Formats: sequence, structure tokens, C-alpha cells
Amino acid sequence: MTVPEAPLEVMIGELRLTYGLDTVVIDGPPGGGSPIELPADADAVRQHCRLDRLGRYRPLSGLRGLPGGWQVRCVTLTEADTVVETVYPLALEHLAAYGEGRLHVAGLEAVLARQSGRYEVAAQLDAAGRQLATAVLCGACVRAPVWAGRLAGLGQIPCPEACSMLVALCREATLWQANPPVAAGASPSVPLGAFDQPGNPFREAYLAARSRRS
Amino acid sequence: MKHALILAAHGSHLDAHSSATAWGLADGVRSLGEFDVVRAAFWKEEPSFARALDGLEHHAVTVVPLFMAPGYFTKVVLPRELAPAIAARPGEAPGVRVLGALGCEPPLAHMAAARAREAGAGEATTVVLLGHGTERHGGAAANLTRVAQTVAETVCFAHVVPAFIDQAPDIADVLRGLPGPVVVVPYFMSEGWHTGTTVPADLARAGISVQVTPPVGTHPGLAAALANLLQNGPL
Repeated sequence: MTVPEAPLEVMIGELRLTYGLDTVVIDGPPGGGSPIELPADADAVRQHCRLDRLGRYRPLSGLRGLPGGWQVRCVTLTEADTVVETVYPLALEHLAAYGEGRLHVAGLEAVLARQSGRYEVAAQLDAAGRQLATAVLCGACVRAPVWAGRLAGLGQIPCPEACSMLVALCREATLWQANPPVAAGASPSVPLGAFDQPGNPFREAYLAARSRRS
Repeated sequence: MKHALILAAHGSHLDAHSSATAWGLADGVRSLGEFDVVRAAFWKEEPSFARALDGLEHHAVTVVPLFMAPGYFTKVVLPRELAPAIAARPGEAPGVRVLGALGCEPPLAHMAAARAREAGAGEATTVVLLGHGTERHGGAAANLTRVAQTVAETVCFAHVVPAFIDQAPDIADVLRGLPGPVVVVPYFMSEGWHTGTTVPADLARAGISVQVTPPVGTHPGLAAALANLLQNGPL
């Protein structure tokens, strides 16, 4: 990061970074009213961003729906980098590598092919299922899946490789192939990472879309 | 030459607390300034094992598996996930060394004993060390059995026995056969899905009420155990 000559706003994911002469102010999404101020400390920011607005654990850092109404006032660029990296791990490294054309990417096929144990079965998901799982999960994430051939726009964090959440969704989708469960409504009480539980929003979105396609 | 440390842990899709030990250790080591870069990396969170080496092409990298035993994750998953990134490093890049599982370090046995004593365990108490275990690899059972022997030899409890979640001997079966006061010490790296959800649920289903301590990995001595491993680990 370099210090601009005049105040400048930059978006990275759902974070707004405002560069001043002496500070970088990082705001989470709007939350109504004055934002609460968090210390420029990785643990404080991590604790605040671990749960979504409904109090659910966010197992994927890039999931849209960061809690809103908070800001961090950073007095050094290192502090600002720490806050961004805490909310979106490796975002700055991946932005830099993507910009310089040196980001190594790995496609979903390669990632699924190397799985073992309970995730080995995920490689059996058909092409339509892979496409749908990617659309459902990556569509809810601020990172741009450049591993799938997408381009990362301004402020979009490039995602170089399918994450473990997508692998887990592919596993469940493989198990649903033979006997698809009926889609139900999403329930806010179901953990976001529990794809096996009816009411999980990603499970229900996948099942509903798959049902429409067939 | 620059040096980087990667603390490789399991993480969780389901529990917000599973990665706390790894993040806490990483923040602590980073504050000491001995490494140019300190990262936590996870199987089920971010950054992933597969991307943990991103941007570290000019660093000598030390990877410490924050697992309680050598087993499926340290012997199969972690090497497999790191392999593409290691293969892609430039020919002149410094090396990547992967140390043994932190759970094999000798201080962990003392920390397990300390957890039992904190819970009031004494000479008449049977201490059950609870590990995850897996049928996929024998390392977990071998390490926990060794730890149980060490605790039994160094601290005066009535008995010290291992039990597991995912392999025999099963925790509920072990507890049903034990007389007298019992304390269960989870030989886990952190609070999380198993210690907070599945184990209490399994015990309740079995109608078993027993004192369970915080996991060994949350003991404050873990940072010293990591320092010990970093100092004495193979170069």
C-alpha cells in the first residue's frame, strides 16, 4: 500500500478504506448510527467479524454480510494491512500477485481430484453440479473466483483456488445426486457451514436451483 | 534471508472457536519479532494449507502442525495440500521444513496432568485422556497412549487411560466401566465442535455425567511447548 497525496477511498470487499494524511480509517459496512471504534488489533477485529449480523459463525471470510457499524482508525499502513488481512486473509497478497500477473491459480477439478477421506467422493460431482455449487457459494462471496476464469474488478479480491467450503458443498451435492432431497426454506438457526442440515441457505439454494434445472 | 512461520491447524466450518488457539499462538509469536512473517493456516478455514505459502517465495518457511498427534492430517492432508505450492517455488527459493505435530511435544503431557489437577483430580481419581482418533491412521492412538503412560508415571492418579471419539476404545464405553471419581481431559488443540458440541451430546445420550476439563491446547503452557519445538525441531 502507498499513501496517496489527498484523502482517498478504496473498497476492498465490504471494507471501505479512507486514506488521510495521518490515518487510514477502515469502516465495515454501514450499520446505522455512529460506528463503534475497534482497536487496530487483529484479535479485536477477528472477534468482531467472526459472526454475521444474525450472530452466526462466518466460516468463509469473504461471505457477504460482515457485521456493520464499526471502524478502525489506523495510524500506520502496517496496522491497516493487518486489519484487512484479518478480515480477508491473504487478500493483499492475492491482489498484488493478481495485479502483477503472478497469481498461481488451481481449478476446481484439480482441487477435487486431490481430496481424500470424506471429501474424496466430491470429485464425482457432475459438471452441472460443480457449476451450480460454484454459483451458489461464490455468488455469496466478495472474492472473485479467478480460478473459474472470472476477472476480478476494482476492489474485488481475486480468489485463486476453490476453498474448503466449496469442496464441502461439492461433497454434499455428490451425495444428493442419486436421491435429491426436496428443497426447503432457509433457516437462520442453521449454521452456514452445515450443508447437511435442511435449512442451510447454500444447501437450499443449490437444491432449488438443481430442481429447476432438471 | 527472511524467515516465515506457518502454524497449520484444523479449523472448522461449524465452530467459531476452533481456530482461536492457532490465532492466539500466531499473534503471540508475531509479537516476539523472531520471524518476518507469522501466519496461521487451516484445513477448514482461511488461509488454507494450499495457499499458506503464497507470497513467501523468498522466505525460509517453517511449518508447525498444530495437531495433537501424527496422523491423517499431518501425514496425508497437510503434505498433499502444501505440495503444489512447494513444487511451484522457484529453484533458488529457500527451503520449507515441516516439523512434527505439536501434540507430541513432552510438555503436552504435563499440561494434560495440570488440566486434571486444576479440576481437583487426586490420588483416587481416574483421569481419562480423550483424543479424536481415527481408523485411518494409528498415530493418534499411539501418541495418546504414550501421553497417558507419561502422565501415569509422573503424577499420582489412580489410573490414566486413553479414550477416543472416532475409534476404539470409545469414550462412553470407557467411562461406563470406571469406578470412583473420574475427570476427562480432552487432548484437543482448542475448544470447538467436538469439545463444545459432539462430546457433551454423546455423553448426555449415553446418560453419563462426568467432569470435563478445558482442552489441553488451551493451557497457557502451549506457547512454551511451541518455542521448545521451534528450538529443537530438525533443520
